[in-house]
Amino acid sequence: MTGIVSYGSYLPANRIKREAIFNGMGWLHQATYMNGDKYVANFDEDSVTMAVASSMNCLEDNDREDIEALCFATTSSPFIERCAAGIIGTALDLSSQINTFDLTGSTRAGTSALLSAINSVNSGTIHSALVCASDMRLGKPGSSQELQFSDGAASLLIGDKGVIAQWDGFYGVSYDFPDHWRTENDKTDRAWEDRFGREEGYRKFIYEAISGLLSKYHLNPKNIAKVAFPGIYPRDHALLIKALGFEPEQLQDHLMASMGNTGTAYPLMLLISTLEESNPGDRIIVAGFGNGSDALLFTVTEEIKKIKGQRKGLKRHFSSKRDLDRYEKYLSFRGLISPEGGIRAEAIPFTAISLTWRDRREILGLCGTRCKVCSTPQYPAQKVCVNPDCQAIDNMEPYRFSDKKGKIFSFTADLLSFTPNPPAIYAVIDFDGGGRFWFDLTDCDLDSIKIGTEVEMTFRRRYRDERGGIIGYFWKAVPGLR
Amino acid sequence: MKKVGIIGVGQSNFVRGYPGSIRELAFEGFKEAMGDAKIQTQDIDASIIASAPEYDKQRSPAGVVAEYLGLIPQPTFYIESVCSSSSTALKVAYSMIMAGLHDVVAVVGFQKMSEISSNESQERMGRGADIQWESPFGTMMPAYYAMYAQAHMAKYGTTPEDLARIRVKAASYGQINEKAVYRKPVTMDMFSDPENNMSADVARPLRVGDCCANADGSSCIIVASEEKAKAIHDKPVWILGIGAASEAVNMAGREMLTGLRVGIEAGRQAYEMAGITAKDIDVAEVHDCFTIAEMMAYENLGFAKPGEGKDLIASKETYKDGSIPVNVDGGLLSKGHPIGATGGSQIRTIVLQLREEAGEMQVKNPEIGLVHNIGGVGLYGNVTILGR
Repeated sequence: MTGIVSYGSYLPANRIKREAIFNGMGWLHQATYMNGDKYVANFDEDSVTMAVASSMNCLEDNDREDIEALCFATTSSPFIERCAAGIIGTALDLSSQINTFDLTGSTRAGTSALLSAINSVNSGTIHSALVCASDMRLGKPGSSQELQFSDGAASLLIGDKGVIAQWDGFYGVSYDFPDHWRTENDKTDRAWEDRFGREEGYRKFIYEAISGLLSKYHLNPKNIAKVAFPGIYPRDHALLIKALGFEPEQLQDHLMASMGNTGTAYPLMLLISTLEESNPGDRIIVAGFGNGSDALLFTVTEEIKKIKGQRKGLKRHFSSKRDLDRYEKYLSFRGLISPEGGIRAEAIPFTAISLTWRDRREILGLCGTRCKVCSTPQYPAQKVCVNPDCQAIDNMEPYRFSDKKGKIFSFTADLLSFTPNPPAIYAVIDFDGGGRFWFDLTDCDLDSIKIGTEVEMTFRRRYRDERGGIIGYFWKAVPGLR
Repeated sequence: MKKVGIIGVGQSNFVRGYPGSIRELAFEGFKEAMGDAKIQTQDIDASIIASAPEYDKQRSPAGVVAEYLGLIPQPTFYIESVCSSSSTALKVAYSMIMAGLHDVVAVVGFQKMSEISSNESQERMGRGADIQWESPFGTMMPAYYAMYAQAHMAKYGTTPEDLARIRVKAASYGQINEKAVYRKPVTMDMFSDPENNMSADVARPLRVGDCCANADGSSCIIVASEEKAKAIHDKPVWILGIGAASEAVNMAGREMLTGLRVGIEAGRQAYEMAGITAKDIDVAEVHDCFTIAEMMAYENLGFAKPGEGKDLIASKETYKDGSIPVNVDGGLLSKGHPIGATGGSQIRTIVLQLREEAGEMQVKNPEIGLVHNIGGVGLYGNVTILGR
């Protein structure tokens, strides 16, 4: 049996009311008005860091050693050349004996990546693959894309054991349909008319994919518990459901108002939200959209009951969010405006590529060592045990800190150093189970933390060296357990 | 055992932007010390030049400074331990004399901090930390000490007001120290006035008023063997104890953040060598780069029990007329902190005190004085005990 073994997702802690965006730029195109919230990645996040976050969520309580492939789907990779899946794999401390690849070019890449992983496992070539889809797409200030696009990530672990949703089939269509595009020189999408994309693409391709799936497997809508696909044109979403012959209750909420269009991650997030509410035996259809449409069919198994008690999924992300009060902050985080940073912002970041390569498992993977003699965890990796009563030499095993929780030992907020989101808060963290190191704190308010506050780790951009086009990734601590 | 005596002390004015090169700056402190010792350059066997490197972009400053001071062809050495460089250099000079290698050694500390911009300075300060595992993750000096302050407050209930009292004391003496960079008074009201710059956050919980003044400056201490010291100066001051210690570079590698282990350890060595205890100290100079640093020094040196430093300052025991006067020259907070010159300036203050030449700042009849000088954030510690 091939199918989904685990799921995880991620939405940034910051969200902005679309009304706040409209208040800033709505005077330009009044017709763009939209209700609800848009999730906004923090200044230190990108599609790679969010993919790591959703995968950390997905892999909680799952063995990472067995993963044989990692596929990253995105249309907003920070790199055109450098395998982002390789960064993600290193951050997740996966084996280097795996196949990694980035799938891009269309928002449909999310479902295509899922299909690709399923095919690899189903063929018996490998037994376990991790799929992550993440996007942080930019819309021009004042555009409807700016209001619709949301940042987020989803991860699915595909395997042939412990399957919670068995894969039953696929049907898809592919068209070189130019409703929107982004060339090598563009930071934001260029789009043809909405009406064109809606009527010639969205309505037709999704209809073709889902109706094609039903007829290919001799099913009728009554056999399906839930159908999920992106709601980028909410009115047409309803029309499609009707045209396909589904009843409104078979429809999975498209989350356009509460979450927005998270690009490649969007259909996978809808699949996860469907799984969160499903019961054994339910048949589910999920479809992705972008230059065509992919439709996949799953049947939920008894194993679904096991995952439901865990801290995994999408729902938990909708609670306890922080409102980003200012639209200007969002513009500044994305480089759409470039505010004065002062001379301290010109400090030259420290980068030695040879060093970051050599210590990649420590820096990207947050792996230290644990003494085999006295079991003391230590970071960075040591040759001589730091425990003064032990001091064993060259007797260490790798020890991963990224999935450990910790407590603040001491902290401060730095008002002098430049940071895009002041103040810079950092802390010395005591890990549960041992080990102490210091980290930036992120996604938090200074007033909400004190010595002893619980934290968990999150993979982020530590700095960006514009001159060398270098992004320095490291782990930060987030106060409060999600 | 033979002794090593101090026969000349000097320091430049500590100023915001010294209008000259590092060699001219070094000369200012040297000139005063030479005038004090009343000797000629050929009487000096060797020099030790101390500073934190890279602030002036000069790669090997010992050569250029020694040449300008007329100390060639004698040997010269460069010693650095960041903010405690000149105290560390004094310990090396002491060792050389005790070893019989040299008889008269000049320890010249200097720092020109104003030549580079804030971002460069911040970066260089940060690079005093572990450049692989610490400074890339972005920190600057106030923030490191702020973490100590945060931990001290959480454990002992120390308050920002307790720390402010230390600044108020420092400013009361900075006003009467002609060589200090910050000569204005500071009052407690300033810390509670949001309009006043003193109350502005730098790194929580430290505020502008909790931080020392940046300065350019130089200092010079001339030390000599017992025989030479007695022959040269009528009031030599003797080095009774000289301790030094080091600590884990990365703060995450430290057991406690409520005190500096190097201060405790260097103090223990110095007390033991001098055969005295904290009770015997009549006047002290401690490393108050931040108010919390002085608070911890009280506790680490045994002037107060851990957590009781706040009571010591609240009852004004560390003022000039208190039981243990501390930093009655304004300290780093008001006098200024040109890092390589700081230790020598502290030594100078205590030497003047023991010779009863400190003028308005003079403590009554001191016999034994102590200098506590810290490098980095508790990375290096030096404690020197002097007697007349």
